[in-house]
Amino acid sequence: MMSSIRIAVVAGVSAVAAIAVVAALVVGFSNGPTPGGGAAGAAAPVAKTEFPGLTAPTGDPQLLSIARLAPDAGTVQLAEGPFDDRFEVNDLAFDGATVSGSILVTSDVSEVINLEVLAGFYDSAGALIGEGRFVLESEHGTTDDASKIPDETVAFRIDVPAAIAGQASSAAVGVPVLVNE
Amino acid sequence: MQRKKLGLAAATLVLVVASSALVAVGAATADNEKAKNVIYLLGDGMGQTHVDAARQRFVGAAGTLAMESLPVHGTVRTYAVEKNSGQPGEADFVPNLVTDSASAATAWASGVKSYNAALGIDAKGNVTPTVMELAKNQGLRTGNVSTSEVTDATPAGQMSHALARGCQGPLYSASSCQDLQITGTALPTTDVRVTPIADQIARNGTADVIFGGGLSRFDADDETALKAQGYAVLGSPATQTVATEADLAASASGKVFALFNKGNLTVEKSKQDNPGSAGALEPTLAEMTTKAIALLAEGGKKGFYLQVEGALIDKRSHANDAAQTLEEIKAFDDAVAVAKAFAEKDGNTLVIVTADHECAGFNIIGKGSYANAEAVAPPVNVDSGNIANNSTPSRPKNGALDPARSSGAVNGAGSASATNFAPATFRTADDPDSVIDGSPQASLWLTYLSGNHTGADVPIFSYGAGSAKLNGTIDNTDLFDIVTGALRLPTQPTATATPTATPTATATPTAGTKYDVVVTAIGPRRSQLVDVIKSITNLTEKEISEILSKKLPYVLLDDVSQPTAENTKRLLEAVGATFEITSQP
Repeated sequence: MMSSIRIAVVAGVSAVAAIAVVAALVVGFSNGPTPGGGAAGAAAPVAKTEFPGLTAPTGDPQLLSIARLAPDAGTVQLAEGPFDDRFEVNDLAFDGATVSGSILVTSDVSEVINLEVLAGFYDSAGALIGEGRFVLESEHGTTDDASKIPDETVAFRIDVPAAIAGQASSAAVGVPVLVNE
Repeated sequence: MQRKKLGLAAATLVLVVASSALVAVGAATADNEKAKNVIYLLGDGMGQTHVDAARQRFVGAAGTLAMESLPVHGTVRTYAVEKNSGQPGEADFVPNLVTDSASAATAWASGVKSYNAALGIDAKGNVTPTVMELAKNQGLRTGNVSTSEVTDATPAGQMSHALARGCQGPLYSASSCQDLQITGTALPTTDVRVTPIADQIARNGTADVIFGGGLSRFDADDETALKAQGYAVLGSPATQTVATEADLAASASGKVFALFNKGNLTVEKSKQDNPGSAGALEPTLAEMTTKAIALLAEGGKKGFYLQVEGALIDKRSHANDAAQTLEEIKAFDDAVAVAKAFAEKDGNTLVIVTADHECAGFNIIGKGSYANAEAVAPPVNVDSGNIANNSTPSRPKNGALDPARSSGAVNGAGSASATNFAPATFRTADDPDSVIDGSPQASLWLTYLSGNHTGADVPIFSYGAGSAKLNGTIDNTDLFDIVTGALRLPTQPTATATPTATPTATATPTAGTKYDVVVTAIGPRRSQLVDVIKSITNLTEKEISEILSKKLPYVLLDDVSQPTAENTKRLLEAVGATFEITSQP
């Protein structure tokens, strides 16, 4: 039975560079020009794929502002995020069980590719007791999304987690992720 | 698997290889195809009609825009592919006729078709090196200028590798960065393909000069990383302080990172209408291009590669805002004029002006006419006396103007109506001074089909060494070969070979063992693969074409020696084919 050894598949080695290697192998080192300044550069990886020192994220994005806020009981506030100058929040409301509202993107009119709304829930003393998250289910990239009708307004609803049901007196919402096409 | 024994001696193979190699090297080094520098300017979403409308608006029907004054004209096909598709010609090739900016950027930057949302990877998730990375690797200076966030698709397509274009940062999120349709299971967050694009740009040093918007994507750690690589950081990601035009003017040399807006740069029309606003103080695309060229040309003995994007042509076309779109095209054309002037003076620069796709079905209709969207019904399509005109659907009545859908120019009398599909009207350079925009008297009547991209081919204009290859119709992936060829950049193996975290076993043929060489997939350079197979077999081009279309995987060689296997491996690698070498007991 044939034993199989998979050779590392290499896609994209320059035809010019690789041919130059073969040409040198066969005809010796002629005086003609070597395309690309020789093969040495081609041997080194050019796409940097590792970033020493960069801390790898361990979970979903957080907002420091959520932890810092202490909204009054019965209120819902906006928490600071990196994209606050790109949208408006309308119809923001909290009924003790759900925080809801809509995000109107004002910076672009093209399709919203990614949007996450993070909600913090607080007890009557203003202490953060839990979080919830709304993630826009974008289909971008899965089908023919380039022909999708853009919608600048995204409604969201975030329920108080079951573990703290009945304990939340106030809420805050912020946007850690926002990308338009 | 079909097997075909060729019985080819290793010595014969090497001689044939030598012959074809010499021809190829000679062709690649022809003087008229070499350029020291390449300036690649892209009008995002700019179809031919965008160019036509800008011409009529700003220089008149008989006038010529700067981009049109470049001597070589052609068109570019723009289609993308679906996720996990093969490349054109492969059995699992599945095209997507309407591209987005990410897959289009990957096509010209990396020479492969990919899926909408993919950056710097093929449709199966393999990392593909970019022209800018290759240029940087060869010691050329590199620059990336855009009026969008520099983490957006077009600039990011040259200096990042991401499963999803939405993974821009500053924060990682699984929903915006992972794509399980490609990888099966979630990649570790250390994998470049799910590393936020801002983090990649701040750490990979791919572009020496980075001008644009998107400051809010970057943070204090990014600023530290940039400075550690020697960048002069204008403004501050750490304090979210935007760079200014004065900062730009003061930058003198080396590597410069300057973001002039927290998001996309301000549209030109808004700057004109609000000259006292902060946005009006941002540099124009032409000013950024001028500075980038000056920085890159200085001390760049090996030349430079600069990409310049007029991003807001697309973004304002999505909005169907013709007034802003026209001004963005003008601003882009001003940047083209800067590049052209440099190239004419330099004498060794290839200037390419093109687009990634058309946006919104922009069109010019006759003055006083109307579009289907304004009519009560589409045009009549029945002629009982001529069956050739009687295709379905049949419509016996003509589509008269619907007053509810056509209440006057949308930038004039009909601006208040939310249901108005009438065109926007603009005076042209040929109209009398008394004619104003939005009036029925204005000559240029502009309509939109949709709010999104279309699948139309886009124009390409070029000047300088290597531009002869841009005459006629090309595919957007051809731009990779043309630019790397002009700059004589050796292209590069993929950095990570598999879409999942599964490592690929590697092996090198060893002496004394016999091998089979099996081609399993064509790769991005089908025609070159055909040439390779012709050079090492007695197959005709027709036979090879049939094999590549219908008979993969195919045993190209069997029972060959280690040197033959090695040489064949090199040749197949060179054209990007996928293959296996199996050892015989």
